[in-house]
Amino acid sequence: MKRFSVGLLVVVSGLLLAGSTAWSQAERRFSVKVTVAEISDAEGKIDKRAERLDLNLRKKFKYKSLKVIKERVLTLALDEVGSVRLPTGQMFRVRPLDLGDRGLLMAVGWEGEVMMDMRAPNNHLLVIGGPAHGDGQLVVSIEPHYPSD
Amino acid sequence: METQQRDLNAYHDGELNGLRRWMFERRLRRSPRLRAELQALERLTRCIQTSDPEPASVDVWDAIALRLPAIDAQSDALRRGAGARPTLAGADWRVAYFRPLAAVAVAAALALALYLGVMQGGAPPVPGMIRWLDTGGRSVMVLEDQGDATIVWLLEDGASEGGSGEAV
Repeated sequence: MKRFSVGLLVVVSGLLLAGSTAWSQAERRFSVKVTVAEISDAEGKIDKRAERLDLNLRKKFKYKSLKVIKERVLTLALDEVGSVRLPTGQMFRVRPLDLGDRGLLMAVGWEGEVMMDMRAPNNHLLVIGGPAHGDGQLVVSIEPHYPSD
Repeated sequence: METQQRDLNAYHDGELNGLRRWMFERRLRRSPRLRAELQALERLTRCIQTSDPEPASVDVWDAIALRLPAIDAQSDALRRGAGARPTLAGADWRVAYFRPLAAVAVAAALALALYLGVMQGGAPPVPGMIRWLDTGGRSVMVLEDQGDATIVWLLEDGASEGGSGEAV
């Protein structure tokens, strides 16, 4: 009888733990910073707000100016879609799907350009760019932030 | 009463045959109430068939559209995985024959990459950061920078990465 009680306690504790984990995942909110910028060969400044973006982009591409057009911080729950309208009129969408050991799995869509699923660790920088805009090219960066357990 | 309702629905749907159909039609001729019910059922069906479904709101569609291609890709991968194993008949023997060679080549390449990564002191890139990507056939360049940043660069069709934003 005692063994049965201990077993039951273990099972109930396990269920409660699993339930609370699932609940906390569902309730958890993720902050995703979206920066919309334009890089160009035209003489100009590098916007201070996009220092990290510039640091990473500069290693791979040549450009003379980087202008931040828009900055948004989307606070999203799992499966919630956050949208940012780009200067081209297209929509840029982010949807957190799952949080795992290797980071936050997100569905990311740039209307008419690209759709992807990506697992990004906390504070990882994802840069999507290339489409022509003005004298240069449009770049969108996203950084997910969430408190670690 | 319940049987009559069931027969009415079955008759309306063309599912009554033979004797049961003949008996129901006899009842139908004698009962104005049953005829009225059948007419009401027909009106309802027409109404349902002609009414346009309400279009999903933009937000709902956005949420679905963001997942559909990924789900398709996963289903395709599963289908391919569950497909028949290659046989030695026809062209499939080449797949079966070269598979071990390909596995050895991939293992050797991975070992070399790890060796070079260690020798150069750089951390190997985080594998599989991007799980799925669809550019609608457009060329794309994916650059992963030691786990700190991932760059997805969309290339103009038919053009190299020239002009502004030129690759270093």
